Amino acid sequence: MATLHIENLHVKVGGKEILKGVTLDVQEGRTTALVGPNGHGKSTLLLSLMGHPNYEVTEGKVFLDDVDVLALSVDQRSKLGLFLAMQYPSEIPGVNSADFLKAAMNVRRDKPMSLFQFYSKMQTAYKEMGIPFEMSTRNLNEGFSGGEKKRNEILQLKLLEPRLAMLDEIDSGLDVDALQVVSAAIRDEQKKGRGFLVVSHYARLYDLISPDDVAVMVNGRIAVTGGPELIKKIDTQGYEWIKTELGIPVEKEDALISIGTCATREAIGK
Amino acid sequence: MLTLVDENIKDLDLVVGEGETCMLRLASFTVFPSANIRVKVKKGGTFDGAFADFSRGNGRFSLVVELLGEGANASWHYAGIGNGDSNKTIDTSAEHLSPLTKADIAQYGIAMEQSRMTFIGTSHIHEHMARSSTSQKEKVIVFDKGAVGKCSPILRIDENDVEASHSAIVGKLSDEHLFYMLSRGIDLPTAKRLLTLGYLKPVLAHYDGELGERIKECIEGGF
Repeated sequence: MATLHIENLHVKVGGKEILKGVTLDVQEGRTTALVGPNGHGKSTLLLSLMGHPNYEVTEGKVFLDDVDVLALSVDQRSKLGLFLAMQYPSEIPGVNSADFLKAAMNVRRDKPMSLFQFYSKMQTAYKEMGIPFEMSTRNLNEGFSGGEKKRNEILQLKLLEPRLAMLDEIDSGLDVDALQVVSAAIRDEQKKGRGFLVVSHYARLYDLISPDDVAVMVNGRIAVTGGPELIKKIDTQGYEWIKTELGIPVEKEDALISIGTCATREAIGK
Repeated sequence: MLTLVDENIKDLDLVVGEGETCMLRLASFTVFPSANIRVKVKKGGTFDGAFADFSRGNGRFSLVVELLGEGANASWHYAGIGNGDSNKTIDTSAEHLSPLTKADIAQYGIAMEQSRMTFIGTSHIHEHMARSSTSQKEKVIVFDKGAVGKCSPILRIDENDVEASHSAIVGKLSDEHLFYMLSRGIDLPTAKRLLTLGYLKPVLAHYDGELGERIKECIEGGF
């Protein structure tokens, strides 16, 4: 079984250091819950591991077994076996869902799938996720509800079969029924030996998918790791005990100020 | 229906009679037409135009539609690619000269390599031409370093009781869209191609038969 080894990872976003030395091992075949207060770097860690261009790694190492993940481009990381179900999946106008899925599935193969093979895999996945198959003809995520977008992320996970799937607040925007469908799909994938790194604020999701390990991120570092008992503790006591028991003061999230945007009418390629 | 493929049009005057429909289909694969096209649409007439442009060239393509009679309407859809060091200006205008007239202009371009692509034009609803409606949608994607895109649609409205809208977007492919696609293992050239197809594909609705197939091949194989 592979291990994603993260060592002393420092990441800046817009010049500000968000991750300040994350060290964590995530095992393929196990589910790790990543919890922590808002604004302490959980999503930053997932996006940095996937290679988002706005997240600048200034120090540290990330290896999946003996492969240096940080040396790879985003698409190479995906082909290596990493997958990120995004908190806010992009709506992509003009890109047909089926064309997109076919392209993503074929890059993992020596020979492109036959149309029959592709459609039968796609139909099964749509059915399992409770998404009407007609939605495969629509543009990717365009006009999808929040819940449909999240289901669509898990549908992609099922079709792309990664070694390690990172789920960023996959339960936000899901109603009770959709949460059952999504958690059942995650349980199916766990049985297949898929590894998971799961960010959520709610014990409800973790109750449904039973993580093996828990890591608590505070102030851009992993403050403590342990078993599922940590989730119960956080659910009942919040994060105050981090300060009282571990002596780590929990920094407050900066308030964001938006000054708005304006239209662009001319651009030069740079 | 008038279909012109790779014609180096210079001047073209069309008159759409009362209650009649004129469909103009232009397609350029080699020659960019520096044309002056004037279309006069009489009462209840319809002008339906489209231009699929994959040519490499320089110049100014001009289309002016005059909606002369009550209930006259016009639609125009341009989709094109600028490549090499081509410098294209697409100048499309609609003159609302009767009440209850309607014009919809949609133009989509991809500026690649060192090319320059400019969309300009004025939609003018004249005084007393009440209950007319006009819209302009223009979008240029700047695909490569060194390419330049410019959109400047102008609305001139001299009557209160009308509907008018315009939008102009010039920019690179969205970084978030690219990241999403790359994160699924799709390589950068393929991701860019898939994203770009989305802007050009709607023009296919205006073409059929062999010409439609040829345009489709150009869109899908052009990157």
